[in-house]
Order: sequence, then C-alpha cells, then structure tokens
Amino acid sequence: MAKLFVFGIGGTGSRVIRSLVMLMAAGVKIQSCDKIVPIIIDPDTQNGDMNRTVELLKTYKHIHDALGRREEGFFHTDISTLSSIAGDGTAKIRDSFVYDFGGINKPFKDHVGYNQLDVESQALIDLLFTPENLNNSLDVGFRGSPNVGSVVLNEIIDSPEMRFFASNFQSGDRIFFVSSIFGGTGAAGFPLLLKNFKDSRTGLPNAASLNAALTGAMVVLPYFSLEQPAAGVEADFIDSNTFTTKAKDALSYYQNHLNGVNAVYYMGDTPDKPMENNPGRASQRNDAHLVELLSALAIVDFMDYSDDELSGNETFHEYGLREDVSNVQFQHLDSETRDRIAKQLIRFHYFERYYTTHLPGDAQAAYAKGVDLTGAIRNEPVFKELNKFLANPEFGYQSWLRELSRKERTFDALNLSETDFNRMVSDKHIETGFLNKGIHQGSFVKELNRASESISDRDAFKATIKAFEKATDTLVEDKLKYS
Amino acid sequence: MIQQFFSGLYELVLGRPIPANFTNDYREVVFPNTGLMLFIITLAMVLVYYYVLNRMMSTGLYKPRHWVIFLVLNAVIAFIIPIAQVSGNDIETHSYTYMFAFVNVIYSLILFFVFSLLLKRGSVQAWTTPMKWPNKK
Amino acid sequence: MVCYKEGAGVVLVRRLYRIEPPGAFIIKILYNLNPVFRVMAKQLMNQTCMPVTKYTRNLYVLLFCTALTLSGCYTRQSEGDETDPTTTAPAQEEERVAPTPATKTPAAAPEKVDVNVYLEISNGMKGFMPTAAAGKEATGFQQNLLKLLSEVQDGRYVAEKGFYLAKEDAQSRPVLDSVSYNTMKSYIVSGIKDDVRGTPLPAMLKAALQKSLDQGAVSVIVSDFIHGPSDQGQFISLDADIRSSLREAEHQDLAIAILGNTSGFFGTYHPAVKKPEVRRTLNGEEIPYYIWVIGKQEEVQVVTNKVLRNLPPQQAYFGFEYKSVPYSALLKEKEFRPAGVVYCSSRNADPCTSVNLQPEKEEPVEFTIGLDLSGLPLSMQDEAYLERNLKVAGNGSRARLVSVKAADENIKATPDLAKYSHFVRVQVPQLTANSGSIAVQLPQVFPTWINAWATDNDNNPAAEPKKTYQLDKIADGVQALYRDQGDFVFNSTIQFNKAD
Repeated sequence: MAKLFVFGIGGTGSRVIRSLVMLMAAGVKIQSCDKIVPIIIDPDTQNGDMNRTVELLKTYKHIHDALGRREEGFFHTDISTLSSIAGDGTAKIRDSFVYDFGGINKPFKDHVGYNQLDVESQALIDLLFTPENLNNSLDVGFRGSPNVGSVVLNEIIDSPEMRFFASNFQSGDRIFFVSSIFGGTGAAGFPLLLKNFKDSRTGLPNAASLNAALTGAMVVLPYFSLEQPAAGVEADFIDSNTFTTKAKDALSYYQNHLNGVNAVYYMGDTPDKPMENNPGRASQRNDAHLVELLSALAIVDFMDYSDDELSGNETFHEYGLREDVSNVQFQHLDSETRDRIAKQLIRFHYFERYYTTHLPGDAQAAYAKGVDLTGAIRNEPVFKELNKFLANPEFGYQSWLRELSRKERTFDALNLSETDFNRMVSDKHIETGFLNKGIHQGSFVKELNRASESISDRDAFKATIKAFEKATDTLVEDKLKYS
Repeated sequence: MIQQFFSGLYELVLGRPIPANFTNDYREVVFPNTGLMLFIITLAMVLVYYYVLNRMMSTGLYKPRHWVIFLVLNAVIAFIIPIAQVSGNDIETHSYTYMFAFVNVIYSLILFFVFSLLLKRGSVQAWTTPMKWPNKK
Repeated sequence: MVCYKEGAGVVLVRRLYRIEPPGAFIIKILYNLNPVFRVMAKQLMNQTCMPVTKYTRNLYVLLFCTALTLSGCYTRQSEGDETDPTTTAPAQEEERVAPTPATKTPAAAPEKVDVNVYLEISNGMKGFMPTAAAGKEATGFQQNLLKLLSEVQDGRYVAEKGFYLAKEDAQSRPVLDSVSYNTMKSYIVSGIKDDVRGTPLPAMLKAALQKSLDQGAVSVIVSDFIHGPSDQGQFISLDADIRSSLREAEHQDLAIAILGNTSGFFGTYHPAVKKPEVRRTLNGEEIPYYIWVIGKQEEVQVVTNKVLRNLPPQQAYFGFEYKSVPYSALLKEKEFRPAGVVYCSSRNADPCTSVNLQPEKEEPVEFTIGLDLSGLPLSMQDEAYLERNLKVAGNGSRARLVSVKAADENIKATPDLAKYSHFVRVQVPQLTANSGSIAVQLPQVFPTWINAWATDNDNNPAAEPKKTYQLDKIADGVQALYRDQGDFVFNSTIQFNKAD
C-alpha cells in the first residue's frame, strides 16, 4: 500500500495541489500509489490560497469516500490527511491537510528571542535579517523571505506531526515537494525538509526508510509579478522584483546542496500583468494559473516512473509548450501531456456542464429515476459536496477554470461559457448536420441511460458518477473522436 | 377457446350482445377479433415504445408524458377497432357497440399498463417509465 | 429511410385495412414479403443504406405484426367451420339425425308432362255440351274444356297427350275410347251423340287411372261425378269403392287434385236420387262438374298451374306432401327484425334451422321464419288460408303464430329474401325445456267447400243448386287413401337451444 506524500509548501504549493485535485477529480491516473497524502506547509494560517485548497481537498475526500475505492474514473484517487494514515485513530495530531504551526503569531524578533540575546548575536541577526524581517508577525508567513523561513521551518522537524509522518513512513512510499523558488516559505522549506529527511543522522524515527525514499520535487520558478505600491505609500508588500534574484540564488544553492532528490522538475514563465500585492492572510488568494496546472502534472509524471527508473542518477525535467501562444489549448501541449489529461479533462468538463445545467431537468430519465436521483440530490449530503466541488465560487471547478482563462497566458482548452457541447473543446469542434446533432441534451441523456443500464450500483451517487464516466467516455470516443 | 375467453371477457362487463340476433357474430368474430387485435396491437405499441423508440433508436421519448401519448394513441385505436369490427361485419350499430368500444378502451389502458410493467425492464432509455416500480436498479 | 423506395412496404400498408379469410391473408403476406427480403438482401450487399437497413428490418417485422393483427383472425366468410364446439355441437348433431329439409333438393318440377284427358260422355253430361248454334252462348263447361283441350294439344307444357271418351258398355263396364283432339273437341262443341246410360264412377276412375299409369301420364278426368251405378246398393259403399279404385294411385305415390266448378246446364238432368223425378229438363241452371287431376305431385302441379291455369276457387288436394319446403329462421334481416334474445345457433348457417333463444318475461322472443311455398298448390299459398290453417307447434317451448305474410315486391327485390315466398312470424313467450323445437306446420285440411257442395238428394238442382250427390263420401274415400301418410302438407322444424 504505497503512499505518496505531497508537501505543498507555501502559497504556490497550495495552488499546485489545487490543480492536482482537479486533475484527480477528472480521473487522471496517478500510478504507483494508492493513496496521496497532501501536507500543506504554510505558517500563514489565514492564507486564501491555502484555505480554499484545504476546502477543496476536504470536498474531494468526501466525494471519494462516497464512491469508494476504484481503479479509474472521476475522483478515483484516494487522498488522506496525515493523521488518518495510521488508520487506527492513535494519532495525537490534528486531523488536517495542513501542518499545524500551533499559532505562531508573534514577530520573528520575539520568536528567536532577539531581545534576550547577547549583543554579538543580535548583531549577527541584524546582519542576516532586515528590520522588517524582525518585526513582521510570523502568522502572515515569511513574505518572500527565505532567510526567515529557514529559521522558523527548521523547528517543525521536531514537531509531533513530522515525527508521526516519519514513523508512519513505509518503504515504498514516495515523497514529493512542491514549492516556489522565489517566495519565502517554499524556497526555504523545501531544501530544509529534504535535508532533514535525507540526513542519515536525523532525529526522526524510521530514518532508514526516509533516507531511502524516492523523492521528487517541483520547483516553480517565477511566473508572476506583483504590483508595486504607488510611490510614497508606506505599504506592507512583497517586492516581486526580487523574485528573479532570489530564484538565481536559490538555484545556485540547489546546485551544490540539494542531495537525495531523485527527480527535480522546473517550471516557469515570463510574468504577465502584475497581480494584486497581498502579502499573506486571507487576501493572498491568487487566481489559478496554467503553470500550476502543468506543475501538478509533474507529480503525475513522477509517479509514472518505476522505482528502478528513479533509483539511478538524479533526473531533471523542464516543461515546455509546443508553441509560445497566449491561449493554450490541448493541441499546444506536448502529446505526452495531452494524452495524459485531455480526454479526462474533457470528460470531466462534459460531466460538470451537464450536471449543473441539464441534470435538474432529467428527473424522468431512466438513469436518474432508476436511483431516485432527484430525491438523493435533495437528501444526500454527498451531492452537496459534489455541488461545492463543481460550483463553489471560492474553490470549485468552475471558478478554477474561469481563473485559468483570466491570465495573459490562459488555459483555453475548455470553454466554460460555451453551452453547446459540440463547441466546448476549443481545438476540436463536433461537426453537426441535419441528421447528426452531435452532443446535445438528448444524446447525452441517451448515453447516460445506456450507461446506467450496466451499472449495478443502487447508491444514487455512485451510480450517477459511474453513468457519467461511461457516458462521457462514449461521447468523447464516438462523437468528439478526440485523439 | 379464444372465442370463449374474449366473449367472456367482454360480456362480463357488457352483458349479452345487443341486438341479440347478432350474438354469435359478436361471440365468434367481433369479440375474439377485437380482443386479439387489442392484445397484439397493445403489445406492439409497448414493444415499439420500449424497444424500438427507447432501445434501438433512443429517440428521447422516455418521459412519462410520451408514454401517456402512446397509451392514449393505443386507447384511440382500441376505440376504433370494435366499431370497425362491428360495421365491417355488417352488424347493426347500437349503443352497445359504443359501450363495447368504451370497455375496450378501458381494457387497452389496463393491458398497456400491464405490458409496460412486464416489458419495460428491457428498455435502456425508458425502463423507469412510467415509474421505476417494480424494477430495481 | 430515404434511399428505401421500393414499393413493397406500401403494398403491405395498404393490405392492413382489408379483411380477408386468415388463410388467404397469410399467403398474401408471404407473397409480398418475399420481394421485401430480396430487396433488403440486395441493399445489404450494396452497403449503401447500411445504417438504415437495421431499422427498416425492424420496421418490417413490426408492420408484419400489425398487418396480422388488423386482418383479424376470425372472419365472417368462414365456411361454417365453427371453432366453438360447445355452442354448435348439439345443433350439428340434430342436423345429422334429422337432415334439414333445405339440404334435400326438392324434386324439380318437370318441364313437360304427359297428359291423358278423359271426358265422361254419359247422358248426364249432355246438358253441359249443348249443340252450338249461332247467337247462343257457349256454357262455362264448354269454354273451360275447350281451353283445357287446346292447352293440352298445343301448350308448351304437355309432351305426350291422349284424349279419351269415357263411357260404359252394356254390362256397365267402363270403356275408354281413344279419340283424336278434334273428335273430342267436336264432342264438346257439338254435343254428345252417343247414348250412354250411367256412370259407374269407381270403375271409370280405376280404368282411367290404370291407363294413365301404363302410359306414365297425368290423368285429367272431367265428369259431373254423379254416380250412376247399375246397382243402387253401391251408393252405400261409395267411399270404400272410390278408395279401392284409386288404391293404385296411393301405391304409386300419386296425388290427386279435385277442382270443382259449375256450368250452365241445358237439357236433361239425371239425378242420382230418382225420386220424385227420374229426370228433369234444365235450362241454364248451374250444375257442378269436376276436373280430377291424378298423377305425381309435381306433375299434377304442372297441370293445375300451367295447363289448367285459372282454377276455380273450389280446390281439394289429396296426397300432397312437401318434405322439403325451403325455410330458414330470418334473424338478421332488417325487414323482419326479431325481438327478444334470439340468434342463430350457427353464425353463418344459411338457411338457419337452429336458433338459440331466451325469452324474458317482459320481452318474449319473436322472430320470422321464411318459407318457400311456391311449390304448393296456389290455394295453399293464400295468406288468409295459411293464416287460418298454419300451426306453430312448440316442443319444449310455448310458441304461437303471430302473422303470415306473403312476399311483396319489396321483399322479392332483396336478394337474401327472394328465395322465400312466405314469412311466418312466430312468438315464443316461454321455454319449458333447455332445448327443443318449434315447428311451422300446414296440416292436411279437408276442404270445407266439399261439404257445402255435397247433398244427399240431388233430385231438384234448381231448388238446391251447386250440389253433387254424396260428394263428401267420394272425397272421404279419396282422403281415406292418404290417411296413413303424413298429417301435414309440410312441416318445417326449427331446433332451439336455450341461449347462454
């Protein structure tokens, strides 16, 4: 029962995990493991990106649990919180996808006991940290300051969570880090955690397994910029101009000191229109970005490799598009990527579109009536979860997709505002004619009925999801003929 | 056998044929013909609805109101058959004829419903029409 | 669908609305389906309509089913092969035991008959045939007889003919002289020259009958039938003697028609009763004479109806019996709508001789039986006569005659009814058994006019005209001949079962 522990560090980590969840929901297969344990590490407990990712994960887990273990299909990949992997309730830690920093809400200065230090030490600290670093409260994160992060994060190694993680780590499990190289938390957290896990003299239990664990990392290079505050405004902000510099420094550090990682993935983009500058807290809630979606694919890719393939020398991966276009469609992705996600995303998109727009009118259709879908939607909580997953304005699929198309380099493969199924996939429209209406409500419901015919589940939710899986598969294969 | 069965079926409700001098035209021709045609046409209608329109062709006519349309269509046919049978066999029409047609309509409704219950499971698109019972998922 | 233009489907569809016997229909279906399958096979090979054929085949199966359905499996035209055994079996049994009259074709009335005409020429007959003179009107006898002779001689219905003068020899034995047509005609026109004393009636009848039997001809005997025996004691046994003399007729299954008529009498009248007068001279008083026609029933009919034609109202028929009067209960005719619960046991039976009925208290059963009485003597076809004499006898039921109606022009124009000449309305108010029969019968009736025309004393015909001495006794003798034959001229029986 191999597991994959995904450490999403910092805001970027959260956002990549968000995209990963979307891919998993669409049924993108993640090989070599049967459970994914996302662990989000972000001291900024109010962080908007993190919180909606956590909500999304919870919703996903609800839905997955309702559907049960399956080899393929929407929501088939199992996810779990760290505390529940033991499965026996013995964990003394909080049941959450997020590492609990235990409410560090004091300034960094107090955290390190600056005032209690001797003068020499204070001078050293003054040298390493700016006054802002020292005075900023830690509960908003490290604001793009790896120097602060590396100090604070070093402490989490001794936390009960990490010990719990280590003692439950089994041989065969893999570890994957997702972090940005240009921020504070990520840039500091990733090398720090890696170093501790791979240190043969580490104080963590189960050291041998950890040391030998196959490890991958997604290092996200700068791909966005932040607005500069207007001149003369004394504002609390992250200076995105330092991103590149920090990335360079970090990379040169990685070059020499990054040991024990089997595969490293790099991804970046030229920044487009600057985003609102919100350092930390709830207001740090950035729109989803294509880079995050593609970064999530690194995890899929990493898991595609067998143990043997990864065991050799470190491998390094960079991602590239086929063409430098601003509206990225499936055809612009490399064929490997396309094969991995296109059909699944189209199917999920068809599902989402039909589910939210046409399903309420299908009360009399066989697939719905057979399991009393209308009543089930009204009464069973899992349908509310599904609704949240698809349509929640904060973290739902719809907003995720909408956000993806808002950027300068947009993910345009699926058109959310298109109501005609025949034109939803940007690079492949279905030819319609007098007799061939392509995909429409009628043909969709027909396929759903046909699919439900062979589904023996009497649980409304399972039966419905499975019917949609089959129906969308048939529609994509027979009508869209996507290849 | 068949003649007696259908005669019994109709006379059960309608009583002795009127005018009485056409009694055996009713019993030997009209009742069995009407009954057989009702049986076969209703069966055919149900088969068309469930197996042709909602299995082979998937026309989207799976809603209860489509089923009702077929039910009514069948009832109309069931109303016409007895009258056509009676006049086709040179039998004087009588209010009995129309009562007969009416009873045939009632039978057609029952038969259509029963056939639907028995056969709907075989339909892909409409096995829950007009309702899911008694089939289970 | 679009590329499927062969007409086979259309043919099928049109068939749907025709109602035919099931056998014929299936053959037609198969016949029509063959090309369908051929066309479909062709198109399958062509592959041009591939996606369509699958549906069309289904469509054809469907059409076939519908066609079968709409054709109906029971049709009106089926040849009485009843599939319902319980209701019809008893009826069939009865039919087997007593074959319906209608199934026996009645002996066809012969086209031509041989006729022997016997004219009695005793002295008593002379007054009927006075010598013709200019300005003197011929007697009714002469007129009628001349017509008769002419018809026998030249009419199209007579094949072989013989003319005989009947008289007696000195020993009172009857003598039949074969004469030519002209001779007999001259006797009638110019009177009788011979002197023939009396008429031994039984002997003369016997002789004439024997001659006709030998020749296979119908006897037409013209006489006043005033018995003139040599021995007066013979009067007492007249009926027995008549019977004896005609015994051969009964043996040979011959029938006798007696037609009574009167004619003016000019000359000497010889009454049978010789007191007070032995003879009287009459001048135009009406004296009866009779034409007896003896022969096979059908041949007698030809003679009476086609040779004699205008028959006098006084007719008597003996030995007439119709075993096969066509009849049928008429239950579906608009002209004779039945009342109450009654229907033919067999739906397509024609004629219908077995019915199911169920009289209710408020609604007695009433229906009409059609009879073809056109073969009967004309007097028996008379509506009033039938109404008077017809009997409706119920066995297992109470049945009574309501009315008798002869076919009118309207009915003769109705094909189904044209074969019946009379329509007898029968009412059945009650059943006393679950099955039985209802019979429409015409009894052998002794004609009333015979008694009216008979007398025990014919001495004074002027005072008591139109009387013949002991005519009743003569008729009794004839009737006695046939006493042991059937009681009815015809007897048409309708079987019935209580309706279920």
